[in-house]
Amino acid sequence: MAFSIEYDQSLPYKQLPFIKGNCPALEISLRNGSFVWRGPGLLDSGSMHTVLSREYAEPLGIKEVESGERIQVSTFGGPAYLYQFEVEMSFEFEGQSEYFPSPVCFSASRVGRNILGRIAIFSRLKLGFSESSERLYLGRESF
Amino acid sequence: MLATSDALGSLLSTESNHPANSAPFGTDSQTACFTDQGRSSLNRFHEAIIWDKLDEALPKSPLEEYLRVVAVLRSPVVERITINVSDEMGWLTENISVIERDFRGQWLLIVGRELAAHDREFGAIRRIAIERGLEKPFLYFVPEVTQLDFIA
Repeated sequence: MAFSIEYDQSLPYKQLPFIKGNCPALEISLRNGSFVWRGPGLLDSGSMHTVLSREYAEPLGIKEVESGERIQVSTFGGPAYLYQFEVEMSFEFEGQSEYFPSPVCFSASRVGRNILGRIAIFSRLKLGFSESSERLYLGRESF
Repeated sequence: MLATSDALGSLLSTESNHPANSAPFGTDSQTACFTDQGRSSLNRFHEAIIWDKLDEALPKSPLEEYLRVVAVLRSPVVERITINVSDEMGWLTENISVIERDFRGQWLLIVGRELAAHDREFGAIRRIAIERGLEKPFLYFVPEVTQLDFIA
């Protein structure tokens, strides 16, 4: 039996500097105490973690990336380490946004992109990706 | 195991949740005024319900399962609202070539639809953001080099 999926909002894929092609980018905001950063990240269902390039530690008031909880992850390039911090995340949905606790990791190296992984954001949004139309669909999952 | 006739009888006497069970055959008042042609349609309708129920009850072959998945994937996506992208995100995505040419390795502070500041040192950008009283500054670090295709 066929079924249909309803989403509440949609937005076109976006091009970001030095990243090939249009991609499913979502604007998020991160807050760490009085430090707030707002900018784009790439939704990536293949990543467990939300990982920011290490440059973004500074806007969040994090002086030493390596002071975060060290997490070993598996990549095709072999094992790698991420450094995790508990911050707050928000994104706009249906005209509203509110912060929720979210673990965010920083890479040890400069990777030049911010990955929005399954932990935190995927559990809060029902997401649909249409590569043919380069469009991202979002629905309310739970808040 | 029920004989086929018993099973069909059971199915006929069972209320169906099939969407087609609503109009035009949904209520007794509607079925009461059917012509012969209407009764024939009604029989076909009941037959369809029976086949639907049998279809649900029987195990699916891999081909049927494949076709079911294809049907799901081809089902229309209902689009309601397009998100209004922020002015800052709009500026970022509309000025890719300038950003890639002129601002490698720099922080960008984007306010509304303009570049408010750019600098290699984040401290300088932060000072400007504070001076302008920005509560949620839109900040973007431009990578030094073109990214390779990536998988995560």
